[in-house]
Amino acid sequence: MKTTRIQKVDRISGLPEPILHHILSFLSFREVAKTCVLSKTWDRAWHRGRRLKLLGSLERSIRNRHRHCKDLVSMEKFNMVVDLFKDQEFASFVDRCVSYAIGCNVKKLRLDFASENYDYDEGDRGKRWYNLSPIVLCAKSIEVLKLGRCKLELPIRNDVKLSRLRKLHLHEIDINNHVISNLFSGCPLIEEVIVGKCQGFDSIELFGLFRIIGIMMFDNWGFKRVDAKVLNVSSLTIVQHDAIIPFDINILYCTNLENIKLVGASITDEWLYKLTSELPFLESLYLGSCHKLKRIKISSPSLDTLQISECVKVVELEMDSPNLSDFTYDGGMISLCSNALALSNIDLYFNLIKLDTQWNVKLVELLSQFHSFSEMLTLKVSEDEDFNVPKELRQILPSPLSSGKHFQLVINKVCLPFSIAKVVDDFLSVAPHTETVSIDYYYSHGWSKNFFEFSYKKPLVNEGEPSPCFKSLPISCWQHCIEEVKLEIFNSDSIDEKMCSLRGAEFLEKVDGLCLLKSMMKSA
Amino acid sequence: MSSSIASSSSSSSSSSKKEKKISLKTSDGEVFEVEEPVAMQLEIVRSFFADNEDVTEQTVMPLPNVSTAAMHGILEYCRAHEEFRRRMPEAAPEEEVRAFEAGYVDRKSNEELKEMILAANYLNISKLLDFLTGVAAKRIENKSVEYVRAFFGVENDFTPEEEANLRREYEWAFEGVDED
Repeated sequence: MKTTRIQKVDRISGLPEPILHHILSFLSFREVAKTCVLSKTWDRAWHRGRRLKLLGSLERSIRNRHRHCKDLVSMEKFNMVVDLFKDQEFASFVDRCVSYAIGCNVKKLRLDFASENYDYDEGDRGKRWYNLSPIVLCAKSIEVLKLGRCKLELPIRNDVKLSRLRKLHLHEIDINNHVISNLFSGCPLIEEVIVGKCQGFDSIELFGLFRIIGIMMFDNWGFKRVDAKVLNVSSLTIVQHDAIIPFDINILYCTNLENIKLVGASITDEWLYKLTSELPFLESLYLGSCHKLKRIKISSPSLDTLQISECVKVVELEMDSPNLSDFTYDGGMISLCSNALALSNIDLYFNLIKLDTQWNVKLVELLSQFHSFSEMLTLKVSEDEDFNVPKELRQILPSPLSSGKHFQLVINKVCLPFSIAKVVDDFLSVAPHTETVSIDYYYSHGWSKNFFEFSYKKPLVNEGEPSPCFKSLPISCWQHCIEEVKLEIFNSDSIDEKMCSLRGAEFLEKVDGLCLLKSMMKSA
Repeated sequence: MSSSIASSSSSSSSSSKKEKKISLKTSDGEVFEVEEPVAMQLEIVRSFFADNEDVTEQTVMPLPNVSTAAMHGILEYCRAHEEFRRRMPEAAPEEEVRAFEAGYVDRKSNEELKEMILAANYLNISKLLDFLTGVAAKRIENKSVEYVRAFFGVENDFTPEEEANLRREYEWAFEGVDED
């Protein structure tokens, strides 16, 4: 007489292990990994070779679902984010799971083979990567495909056929020119593309993608050239942060472009001028580390936001952009010509070494130009010496800044002791009737925020005759008309906020005492 | 609702003339008279009768690993499914099945669930085992380690430092990973 006997199993905690695996097979890999914290036995089960057993039960459950749902509705999504096991068995396991998922008409597929001990210095980067099964590239059901850390290859005489794909994200993928160009021509419905930190391809041609909305490419190894032609794309970002060689870019007939961000591009002043004048909907432009740019000229009535960062050779900026509202600049000193009357936010950060002896003059000139446009101006400088209006310069200033505005100064590094009074004095000498000034500065182990609000007693303008204070303008300097100064001080070394109100021009003498830091008292 | 299905199935089966019954004896000695098609869902019973020619209708099959309580639960599930199958042999009424299963499992405590899983495993009812293990998985999904420990009856033998280290090592598993 034969009877089925209960299986002899090594029990961990009540339920036999095959049942535990069965239960875990319903859970995400992440949930399964969490079980290692339950007890030492579970930890060992997780650590020692049993991972593959667990994977086996995972696979079984996927296969079951594959069987059950073959002809029914499609699988909504399949995510596999796992450590890269240096194991042949693992690769074939992934292959099988992926093929079941595709057999289930999966719509969203995400595969990421993270590796904790990833060694960037090793030469054989490619060898250790999992080769993604090419069936993924002709899965008709996939709408969203996100791949991370694997290698994409296409067998000869095969083409990518992702006829429903809308979103494609590639992160740290090994992919050659042939596959990547084939990838785009095989996705007619593609709307969003992100390609980041990939390697193996040096150029990409995007042509005739009518549904595309956004393209983002960043930090791809050895990337040299992009051609974008006849695209409906509205947002284009190509960023190569630490690239030694700048990339070439060619944009043709992409008239719907609204946002452009280029970092590390080999573009010229002429190219940029032509591009901006050809894009009727351009709203936002970001240019970073484009070292061929020298005299930037932009003509764009639609432009709203402009950001220029670390384009070290730039000395001149000419903007024909009457609707510009936000302008952010960091780099060396520039001269400016602009008709932007709607500017509401200006951020300036001069962080390059001052080779120019006329630096201070140019700074004041630039500030006065911007100040006439904007209610609010933020200036960031590296060191306290960078904002300095020497006495002799005050006499020859072309014109003081217009009144009634707000000014913010951020100094990245000051050496203590530091005189706030001098900065305020410098500033008031170039902007005599300003409403508020806020000065934030950072020192070796703390920060300080100081806010000044000024009110003035006399009418600001001397009718008819020039004032005794300025040669060219009929207004008086701040000493002659200041009434009250309200001060708010926050320091990182004291919890409470100091607030006080001072009267008259003598306030300046008391400011340094009020703004004193504890650390300065110690050192004094 | 589920009990009405179960009772109606038993009443309908008792009304049909001379339906074959199979006697199953649980670990605590109770004998269940089970309609043949229901009993045959238990793979262990099916193979017992298929492989042994000398058994008769009077043979009482002992099931030493199944308690009476678990047996009640198992028969309720199998009878309901037999009823579904009888009414709609082509395709199971999916919504009804789902509603039955939800109500059926809601009433079970974690301990009862585990007992049923063991019984379903022993009796080799793959459909029920799949269903119950899936339910168990749902019950521990996104739960704290403490809850999962209690669920599986695991004793924590880590020192607090060891546990903290492991949690740090598997930080990615404990932190939220984005949805898709």
